Amino acid sequence: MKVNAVLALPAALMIALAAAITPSPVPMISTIPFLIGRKRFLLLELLVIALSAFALSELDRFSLFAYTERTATFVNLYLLASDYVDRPSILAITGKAGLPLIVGLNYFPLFLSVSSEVTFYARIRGITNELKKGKFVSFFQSLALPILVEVVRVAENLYMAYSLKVYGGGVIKRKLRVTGADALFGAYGALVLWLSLIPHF
Amino acid sequence: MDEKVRLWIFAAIFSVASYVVSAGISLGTAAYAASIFLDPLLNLTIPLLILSVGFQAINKRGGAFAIGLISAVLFALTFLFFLTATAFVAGILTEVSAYLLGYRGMKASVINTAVYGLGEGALSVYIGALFLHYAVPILPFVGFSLVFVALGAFVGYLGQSISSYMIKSGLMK
Amino acid sequence: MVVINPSFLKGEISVSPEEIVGLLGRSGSGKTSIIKEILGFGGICQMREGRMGIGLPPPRDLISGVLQDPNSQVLGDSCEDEIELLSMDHRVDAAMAERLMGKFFRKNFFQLSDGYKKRYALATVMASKPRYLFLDEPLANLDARGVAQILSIIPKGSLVAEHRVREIRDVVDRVYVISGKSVAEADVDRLYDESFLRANGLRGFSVQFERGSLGKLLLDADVGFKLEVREGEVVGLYGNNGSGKTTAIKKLSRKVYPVFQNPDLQFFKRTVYEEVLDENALRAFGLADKAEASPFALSFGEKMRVLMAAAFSSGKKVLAFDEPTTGMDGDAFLSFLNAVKSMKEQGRGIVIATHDEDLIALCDEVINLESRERLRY
Repeated sequence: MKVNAVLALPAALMIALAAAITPSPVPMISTIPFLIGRKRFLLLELLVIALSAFALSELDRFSLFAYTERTATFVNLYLLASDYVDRPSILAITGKAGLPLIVGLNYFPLFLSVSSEVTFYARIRGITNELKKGKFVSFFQSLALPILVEVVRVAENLYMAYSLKVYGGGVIKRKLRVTGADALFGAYGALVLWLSLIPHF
Repeated sequence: MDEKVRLWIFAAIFSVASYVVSAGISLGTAAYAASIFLDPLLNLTIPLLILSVGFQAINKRGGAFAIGLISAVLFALTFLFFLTATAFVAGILTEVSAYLLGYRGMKASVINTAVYGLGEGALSVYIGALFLHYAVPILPFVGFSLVFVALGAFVGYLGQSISSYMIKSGLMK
Repeated sequence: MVVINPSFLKGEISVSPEEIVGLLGRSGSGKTSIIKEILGFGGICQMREGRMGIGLPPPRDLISGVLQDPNSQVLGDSCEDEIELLSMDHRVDAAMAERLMGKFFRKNFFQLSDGYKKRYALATVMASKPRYLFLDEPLANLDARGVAQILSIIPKGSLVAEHRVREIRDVVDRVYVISGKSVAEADVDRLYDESFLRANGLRGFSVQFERGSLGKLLLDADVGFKLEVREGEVVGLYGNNGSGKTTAIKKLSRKVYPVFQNPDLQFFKRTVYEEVLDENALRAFGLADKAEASPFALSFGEKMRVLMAAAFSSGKKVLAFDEPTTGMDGDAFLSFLNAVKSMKEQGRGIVIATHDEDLIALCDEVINLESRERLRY
């Protein structure tokens, strides 16, 4: 199920604002149900939150738990946005100008994989030995070179693919279809903000 | 071909790559974690190096601003708001520098990258500290700024060296 | 019918809307450059449809294409996403894209198999219904299953640039071959002539390989299954994409010298010499004249030779290659066979992870990673 960005992004911003300006646990709790699909991550996060609460209360520093809640909220909101926001609907807000950014966002997994592969290959080729010999500049250049060549190659290829596929020439037709589910999500964000501002919450 | 499209596509790709690469490097190896000093250094230099090469790859008016703007939006989308403003400001400052010096060549690369490093690095430390309700005193702030300028200049030097190699080898136009 | 005169070759290529045309040539002969010129990203080629000249870049509803690497041509999170984005720009046939992708229409691109990634790249271009489609090595890196997934959807009015002759010769109606500085049409029947294939640096010919005697045990490892390698032995790990070949090689990486699939991610130095550090190895692999060249700027076959030369000069007793013949033309394939022969003669052990059936001829033992069956030759 994807939610229209026109309402999803403001809702997410309201939840983020609630987390930033209040110590309430409501923003963090409000994001958890949406991550049911990411069971392993959710379990790990809940474990970290519990450990943090325990440790801070033992050290008599429970007032700092608000920072744990805040971090968890922001991380959850990012994952939520990745899973639930309908990316093409972002163009309803930005128009064609937003298209390169929308497209660029798809390349997170590719560059994550490229950089972790390059570092793995660097380790098995002994490039990291240059560090032990004190050759810091040589190490940086060696590690960065294949990553940079790949970034340039991807940029050139994507530019060509974009030119092949996006050729309508005119203004992108903005599709602003808001459904009941979108409105519900928008209202949800507002509710979270309101509840967070109520002191006893 | 459409130069504006090329500029924004390149800016998007270089910004995303810069953002995500340090996470990938951390995932890929712990070998260089032999030194806890080098881990954060690598996380600062490689993303900045990607942006430095990005300015040179685009090599067009507005390239540095586009990179700063897209980086700012990326930080906003991931709720790192104190980095949003700094990336935006850094992009504008670098565009002004590039307007005077160009985008390619050793002088341009060193100064442009130093300016971006200063804008993003020093400001993010200051605003990050404010976020934690702590105002950095002036002397440490100047000290941090000088460190980021020096780091940015070093990265700019590396960036020019790598870009020049890629242009000569036909890997970059 | 569209007629193309490439800027850097003598001869012309024609494609009509009712046929699939092949464009064959050895690695570095210019297949990709021709495709880029046609699509308006390279030199200035002359094009016409009938008597009407076609300017560059050509109208995209007339001429479009798919480049080699699908990972860097994605505009959307999923095919459904991308079709929706494109529909905001021009009219697209979303039903066609959904039919071509089947149950994977809504799946995230990076979770697709290699075959379906290529299918995604094709589907998103085909949905815009260009009259002519130009495809640059659409079968690169694909196993038999992936090849079938692509061949079944290539439409009429396509030009397919490839060097995997065996896979496309039953699909093409006509074929052009690049030879030196010219391109000319060849009879499709010639694609079954092994001497023709060898002479033009194309794959698809059969190979014989002499297996020698084996020496002492060099490697005894558990990579999810037992793997033993002796002096002079070639062990094959056979399986389709996703069967665990790369994982097995990664598990061996501390004990052997591994060479993985994407050469560009494995170069850390600026020149070929700095990568190999051994003039004898450079000469043995025909790279002596490329010593000062950038390894990133070489053809794919040359890049694999650099990696093999580096492996050769490493001194390690056991070498492991992950899909070494991906992207190799006939010349590079023969070069690889010679390299393996030298390594065997030196008493080294070799592990080859592959779905390329031509490499089975090299192996003394083959382990099927899907059935875990072992065959000793």
